[in-house]
Amino acid sequence: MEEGLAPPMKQLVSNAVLSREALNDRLNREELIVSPLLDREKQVGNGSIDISLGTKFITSQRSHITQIDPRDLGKENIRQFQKSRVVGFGHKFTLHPHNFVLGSTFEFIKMPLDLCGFVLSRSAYGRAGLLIATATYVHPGWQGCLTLELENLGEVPIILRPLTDIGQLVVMHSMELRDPKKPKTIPVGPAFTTLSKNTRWAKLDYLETFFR
Amino acid sequence: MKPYSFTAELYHSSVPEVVKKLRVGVPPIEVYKDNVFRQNDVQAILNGGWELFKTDISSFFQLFDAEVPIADRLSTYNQLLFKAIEATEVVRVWKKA
Repeated sequence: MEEGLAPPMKQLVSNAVLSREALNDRLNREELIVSPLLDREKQVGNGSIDISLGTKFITSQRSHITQIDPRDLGKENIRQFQKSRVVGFGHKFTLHPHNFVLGSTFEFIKMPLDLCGFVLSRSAYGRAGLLIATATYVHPGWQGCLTLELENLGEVPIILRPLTDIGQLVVMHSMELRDPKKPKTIPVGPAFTTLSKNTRWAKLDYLETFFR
Repeated sequence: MKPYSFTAELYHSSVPEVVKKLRVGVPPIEVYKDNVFRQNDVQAILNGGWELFKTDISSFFQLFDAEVPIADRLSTYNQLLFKAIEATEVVRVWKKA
């Protein structure tokens, strides 16, 4: 299809969002993996794939910590105010107004090296006040269950049930990665923040002492 | 009631696909065969998990960054197997609903 097109059009086609046919083709060839899809016919739409909520959550709780300094958010510190929880299938989780919880997709996702994706809230849930993702980009070659940052922006509690189709994954072409980085983990649930491992802290420490 | 047996024939038809998925770090939930996605049996998942572990677990370990300790890689391997078992059971119940 792309052969007869002028270079600018070729670029346009190669950057396009994948249609239902293209998504099904990639899924069937198991190059793009979004598994399992409970209602394949309904979930694979024109331009996106519906994704569901998993059973694992990380909840924040009140604690004696007076503030969060991202620099010190190592494993030990995080566990003082965040806890892992599992909400079984058929059970509910209540997200109170202005509360924040980490969840994950039920579907396991594997992006090939020439595709990337964006996670978006489904508008029906958005209108009810539920925000599902703030870090929405899925890199080429990434694999795992996506961490979702769920927040109730409304004024009334929202009931969350595992397997509800709360989001959508929009898949786009990307320039193929030549030398992909190997992962440190392949998550099957929500991941705690890794901010303390940020390599900028050492530089920032130096700046702090230099300018003081 | 007919006794259940995971025969050699079943092993050869289902376990290689499970091993193929695990080797690339994907939970072996379903397999695309004859134009449809089918769920793997729990028995196939467990057998596939053991087969790769006993014969070629290093190929799975090589998926990760060199800094990652072997214990963490193994933990991920177990989590992928748990995920596959959980998901195949949910899909089975979902289809009945």
